[in-house]
This record gives sequence, structure tokens and C-alpha cells, in this order.
Amino acid sequence: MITLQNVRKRYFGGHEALRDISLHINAEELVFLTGHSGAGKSTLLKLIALLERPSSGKITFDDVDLSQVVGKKIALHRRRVGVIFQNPTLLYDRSVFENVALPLQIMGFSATEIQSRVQASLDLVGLLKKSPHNPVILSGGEQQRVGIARAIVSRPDVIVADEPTGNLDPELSIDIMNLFIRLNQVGITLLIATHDLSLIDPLNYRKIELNQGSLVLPGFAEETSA
Amino acid sequence: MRQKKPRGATPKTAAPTKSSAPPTNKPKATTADQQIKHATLNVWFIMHYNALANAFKRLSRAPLATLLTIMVVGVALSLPAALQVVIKNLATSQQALNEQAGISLFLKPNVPQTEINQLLENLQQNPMVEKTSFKSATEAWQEFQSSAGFQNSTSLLDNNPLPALILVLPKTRDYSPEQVEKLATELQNLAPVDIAQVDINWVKRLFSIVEFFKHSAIYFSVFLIFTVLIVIGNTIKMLGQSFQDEIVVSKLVGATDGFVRRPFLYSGMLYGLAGGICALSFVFIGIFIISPQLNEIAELYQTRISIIGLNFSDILSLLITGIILGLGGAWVAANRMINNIAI
Repeated sequence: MITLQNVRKRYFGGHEALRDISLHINAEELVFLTGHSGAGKSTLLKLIALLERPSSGKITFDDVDLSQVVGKKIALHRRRVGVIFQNPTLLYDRSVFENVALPLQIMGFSATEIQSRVQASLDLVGLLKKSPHNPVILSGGEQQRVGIARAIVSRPDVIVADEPTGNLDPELSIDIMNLFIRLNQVGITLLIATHDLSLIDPLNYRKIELNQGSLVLPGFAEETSA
Repeated sequence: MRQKKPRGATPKTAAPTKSSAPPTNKPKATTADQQIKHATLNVWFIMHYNALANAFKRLSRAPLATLLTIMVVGVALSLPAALQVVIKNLATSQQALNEQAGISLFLKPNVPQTEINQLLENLQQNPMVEKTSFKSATEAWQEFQSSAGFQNSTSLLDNNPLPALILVLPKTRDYSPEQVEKLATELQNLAPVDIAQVDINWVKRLFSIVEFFKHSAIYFSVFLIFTVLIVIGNTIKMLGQSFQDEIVVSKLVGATDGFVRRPFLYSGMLYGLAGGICALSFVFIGIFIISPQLNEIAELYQTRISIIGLNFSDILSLLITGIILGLGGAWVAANRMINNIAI
């Protein structure tokens, strides 16, 4: 599904965020990306979502070399990758429903299709009743779930989540993690960056650890998840 | 592994049922190229309808600012439109005066009739001449005698002092006053002609005034076109700043530059169209106010003036110009804004 080969990322100013990263993520896999702050987790996710470009190396997504994805194809690639940030990046001048509907409007879905899909997504994250409300009145956990609903409403192939529980209390964090597990159970590939080891340690999914831009263990499923 | 299905930008699957289970019947795209190809006309209409609705929504959020921008665009467009009305009316007056501007050829005394006939024939063959009319000395004398107030004075004269006259009407639609004047000079040099007289000064003055207004209209139009472009461009830029979060989020979830740009383009077009309608209102109100006063002046000269307003073609041109300028200004501003948001 996603393969990184000798990927390096050096930012303007010389900071090397990723060093010679090679890893593979299978379709329908749930992978946790761990490491301290500044380890390169966010950069790796940004590379997959084409929010950044690698300085060297190759990233393939469904056998497509991402370096060849340019122009309008970048937008089309992002429709296949649902992105969830620590900050849910919602639009506070729109209702919950309108926030979740945005990716479908972008893709040109009809009003009836948008209605049914948004309702299904909000139902999944337990916020159907909050649909007409403005996100500003929701709690942090609810806002994060709106962000998740928005990420899944267009049925992406992959969801990348950058510290999705970073601002949440432990109880809400567990709820969100359970939601990700349910999404994975229905076949969505997930790559979740978190530094909260206590949250993911009990979970039996592959964990990739980054330390100062390098992989602590080789990032291939057969070598680490046994 | 999940079964891969082709997925495009066009929704192809049945609507998911409302349930707590995540949506699983994912339509899959094999390549990004296929997604582009599968975009149907229906989707195109939906996206443009949404963009137009979005543009209306954005403009209605700040009604006062929107109204002020429309007024500014309207004022800017109304000035060239008003000049166009002035030019049309002056040109019509010029045409009317020009048609009356004939050349009077006073013939020398005792020119034989055969020579006069030959001269008339030559004049008819001249490409600059529309028509000619001949008035003999006797006819001129009779006409003079019949004129009110001259009956007594003509009896004091022993002989007819008036010469024979040929009135030449040039093709004034095709030739400038200068060319008509040149023709008069040429005719002056003909042997039977004593004096060639042309009273074209009025026409020349009016011609100069029309030319002045035409040049002014071009200058003002170019100047005001830039004004409209800048006003709309700046408005769209400010509109973009207030929607920056929306643009960023939209691009994050897969919006193309076209999707982001489209509502701004529609906003620009709406500004231009509304500005054009506003300009038309200003011009028609101006004509409505000025007409009675102009007629009061005309009545002093025992005449009546009816102002020629903007016809359907002028109205259409003004509205299309407004839309194009709005679109142009919005295009430049939206592109700069999108390029500045590096996502």
C-alpha cells in the first residue's frame, strides 16, 4: 500500500527531520508511529499526504510514485488520504454537518448523497445529534471526532492521524483509539502517530518507533509484528 | 484483502445505510488519471452550482461592504457609459448638420446654358458629390422678390444682380469636413464658377467636439477599466483573507485550485454584473434628470431635442464588460492568493 525507500527530509535551514527511512505499510493495516516530540512522526505523515516532499528517496502509494503526483493529481491523492491532526482544523463558521460534508462537496457529490454519507459518518463517531450545531460549542473530544468524521466521510484508502489524542483526556483518548480500531476492522488502512505509549501498549498492532528522524527497528511488517 | 473497486470523483455507489458500521463499500480509483476522466457533466454542474451558491453566501455575509463595492464599480462603469451617450448624441447632431452643409457655386455672369449643363454633368460624376441642384439667375431673383420684406427694395433695382447658382451636396457621411472644404476649393477653380462658398465651420467645430469626447471616452474607459480591476481584485483579496482557513482546510481534504478559485470568480462576476446594472441605473437616471432641462433650452431656439439613450446592444456590452472585468480582477486576486497558500 505505502512504501518508503531511503526517504530523507531536510528542511530549509538544515534540520534533518527524517534520515534514510525505509518502511512498508500493508493495505488494511493499523500501524502506530511512536517517538518523542521532534522524532519526525509528523513529517512522515505529511510526506504521505503530500503536504511535504522528501529531499531524497522514493515513496510509493498503491504502486504510484508520489514524486510523479503533481498539479491537480495532488488534490486527487489527498482525497484518498484522510488526514486527522491534533488540532481538528474545523471551520467555525459552519455547522458540524457542513464541516463533515466539505470533502464530498469538493468531490462533487449530490446533496442527497452528501446527506446520507455525512449522517453515516456522524453516526459512526456518535455525533449525529450534534449535526446542526456549530463546532465551537463542542468539547475538544467532540471536535476531534468531527475531524475524524470528516476524514472518513469520503471513504479514503488511508487515514493518517497526527497525535489525534494529544489534547484529550485519557478516557476520551481510549474512545478515539477504539474508533480507529473499528475503522481498521472494516478495512481502512491507518497510520497513527502518537507519543502516548500507555495508550497503545495494550493494543496488539504494529508499532514503528522513530528517534531523531531514524527508525529504531526496520519498518517492515514481517520483521516487527510477529 | 479488500476487493479493489474503481473509484472516481463521481459518486457511483448506492447511498450507504444509516448505521453505526463504518462505510465499507468504497469505490476505488485505479489511477488519478481515471478520476479526472470520470468527472461527469452532472458533477460539473453540481460543483458550479455550489460555487455560485457559495459566492452569493460570501457576498451576503457582509452586505454593506458588498453594496459599497458594487456602487464603486457602478460609478466607475457609468462614466464611460455616460460618455458613450454624449458621443452618440453629438454624432447624431453632427450628422444632421453635416447633411445640411452644402457648397454654393455662384456662377459668373452670362455663362452659356450648355456650359452650365456640362458643369452639372461633371459634378454628378464626381464621387464626392451626392446631388446637385441648379437655380438660374431669374429663379433666384424671383425667389428673392417673393421673400418677405424685400418687395419694395427690389423695385429700386434696374437689373437682376443675382448670379446663377449651383448647390452641391457632398457625400458628407463618407468624407470629413476637411475633405469637403478641399472639394470646395477645387470647384472654386472651375472656369464658370465665380465664388464657391461652404459654411462648414459649425460642422468642423462639432466634429472637433465629438473627437474630443471620443478621445476622452477612450482615456477614461482605459483608466476606469483598471479602476474596476483593482477594486474587484482588492475586494476578492480581502474576501480571500477572511476565508483563508476554509481554503487551507479545503486543500487539505483534496480541493483542487479550481475548486478553491471558483467561488471567488463567481463573486467577481457578481460584483461586475451588479456594478454594470448599477452603472445603467446611473446613466438612465442621468438622462431622466437632464432631458427636461435640455428641452427647456431647446425650446428657446424653437426646436426640440430628444436624448438618444443606450440601446440593447449598449446595455448588453456594458453588462458583459462588467462581468469580464469582475472575472479578470477576481482571477488575478484568487490566483495570487492560492499561490501564497503553500499547501
